[in-house]
Amino acid sequence: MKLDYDEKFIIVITLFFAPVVVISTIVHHLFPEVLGVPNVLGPYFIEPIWVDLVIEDLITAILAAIVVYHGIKTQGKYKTMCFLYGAIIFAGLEEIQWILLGRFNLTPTETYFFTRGGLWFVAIPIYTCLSWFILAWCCNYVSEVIFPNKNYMFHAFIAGIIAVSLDLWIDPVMVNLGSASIYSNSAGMWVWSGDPKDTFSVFSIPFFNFVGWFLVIMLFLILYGYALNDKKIEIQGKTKSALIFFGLIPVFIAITTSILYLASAFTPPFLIGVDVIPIKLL
Amino acid sequence: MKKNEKYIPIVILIIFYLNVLRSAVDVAIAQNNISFIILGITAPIPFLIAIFIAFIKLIKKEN
Repeated sequence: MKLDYDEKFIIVITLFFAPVVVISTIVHHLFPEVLGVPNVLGPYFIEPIWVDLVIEDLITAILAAIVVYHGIKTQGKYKTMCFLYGAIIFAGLEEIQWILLGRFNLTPTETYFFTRGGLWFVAIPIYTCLSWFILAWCCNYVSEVIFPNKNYMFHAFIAGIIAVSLDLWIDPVMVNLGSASIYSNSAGMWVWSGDPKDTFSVFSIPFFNFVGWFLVIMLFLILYGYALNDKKIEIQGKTKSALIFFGLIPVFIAITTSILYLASAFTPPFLIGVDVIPIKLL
Repeated sequence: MKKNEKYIPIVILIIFYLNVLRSAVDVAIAQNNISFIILGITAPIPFLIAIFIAFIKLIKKEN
């Protein structure tokens, strides 16, 4: 059987990523002390809990597979796989960075951590990475459909707004999901460890979470539109374009992190400790 | 691309929304607090409007 370039590309990129997931998953479940995973019970709805974890990973994987199918039909295998792994790595590394920096006290305040997950990518569950991919792809597509004559930067901006408006609701719900768990001592899907008095919050969630969501979605889509447009791929070739795309991810992560740090440092003091529309009072 | 395949991202986003709504209802019942459902109708207004407009545009394109 002879494989074409795109199929070889999929195999190579998967071979790079799969061991990271296998090792991360083993470390998370069997050696949680290595990354200082907090011993907090997540929200569960089915017993035994491993079935709950498998179902969640499976459902997210099926949805992601449907989006990949749509991608292959509209943009081809090569670009779709770059988007898939690019989104996972971009959003994944951005979140891992914040989680681990907060966990090891390298940020001004504590950050957050995830409480449940079957498969893991270092410190975040794979379903989170896949959800990022699904949202980024679908929001970008919706943006392109609504504004067909605009450029990729405009589409990225609109996609960021669409995604973050959904997250304004997702975050408060998921952080409180522990109250609906079959176990009375469950926390939410993720936990904000910092003291609310040290930060500016919206719907009882740190405001910079939403800024981060917007920036990650928008900057990732800008990077994708810049590095992987059809003309550039034709001139530079697929291998070079992929190297540029994946090579620029750390640069864009650094940009996102710098903006978030600056915004955090220059938050007006009168906003610190303020919770705009606390979820309990809505 | 087949006719219906262009709706895939919109359907996926609706599934996403409904999944969060299911969780929001669970939390609202557990905490006896309807805020989680009210927030689901108000905060994602740009998301809901965007999906609606994209859906209409795709249908118009088809005709």
